[in-house]
Amino acid sequence: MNNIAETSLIEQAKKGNPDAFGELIDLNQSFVYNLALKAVSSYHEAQDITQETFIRAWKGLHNFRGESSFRTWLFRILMNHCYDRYPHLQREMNNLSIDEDEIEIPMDFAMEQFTDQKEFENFIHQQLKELPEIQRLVLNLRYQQDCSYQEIAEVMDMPIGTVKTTIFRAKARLKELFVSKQEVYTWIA
Amino acid sequence: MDRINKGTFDQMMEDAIRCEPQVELPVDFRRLFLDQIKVQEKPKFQIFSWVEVFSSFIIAITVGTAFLIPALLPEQLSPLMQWYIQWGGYLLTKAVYFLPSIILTGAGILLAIGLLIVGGKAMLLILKNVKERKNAPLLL
Repeated sequence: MNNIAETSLIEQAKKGNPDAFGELIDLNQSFVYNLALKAVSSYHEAQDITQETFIRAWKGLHNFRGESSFRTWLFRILMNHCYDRYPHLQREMNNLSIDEDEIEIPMDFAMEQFTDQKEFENFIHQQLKELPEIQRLVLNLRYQQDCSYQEIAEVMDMPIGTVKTTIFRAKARLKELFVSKQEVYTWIA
Repeated sequence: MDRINKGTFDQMMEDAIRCEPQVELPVDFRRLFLDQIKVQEKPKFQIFSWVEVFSSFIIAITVGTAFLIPALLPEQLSPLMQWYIQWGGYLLTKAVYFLPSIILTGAGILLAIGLLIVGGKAMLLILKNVKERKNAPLLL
């Protein structure tokens, strides 16, 4: 849906039209829910968080000034709710360091063509669940929601440098896991 | 077998993350949510807002008038007012020891309380009817 149509829906929703807000829910519920799933492991809890996010958005709609996109604003509400409800997320974020010297990056390696595309994707999807929540959230925002670093920094309430470092570390971790999987396969072979 | 193309690992990883399947919410999420906000949105307090404004206005005028009267009265009337107040105070002091006045005062107080209760209930009933009529379109 283009920006003009969304702006029109937002204006109608601000006037108290719940059906207009319902349209906005239809457009954004999947994105909000999938982001919530990155913060919690349970489908039921993610649904709860999603519902609470939309309730807060409905009540606070008059505060939305259009400085960011509506979806980014929803994500921000979601993350604030997650930080309130799950203090360990806030602690995890506070412990993030931008000191890149601490990270050991696996050297580039030659890709062994022993596995197919689907298997690789399945492996990555599986390993994503093993990453810390903050890294999962940031990767989702960057690569699935196509948010810019600035938007991610606003949503997650962290500096842009920390956003970049978090993405870097998450990818390094996935690389490490893939390398160790390859080593296992080589050993078995 | 679909072999991996030899691009950068980063690119492949990013593509894999983008392809992660999205989970869908239950189909009736929107309906349940809208039902919930419609229930929450029944504005309890809004029904009383005009009543509050009106009654606050009356009280403010009464209090203001009570304070302003002595200031607005002509100077010639001031001693007369003082005399009346003193006379009223004298009568009140006498009435304390006068039985019929005690009984009448008690009855007056009870009547005032009764009128307040009845008046309050009547007001609530009227407001309830107004509220039901106002909410009727939401229930349709």
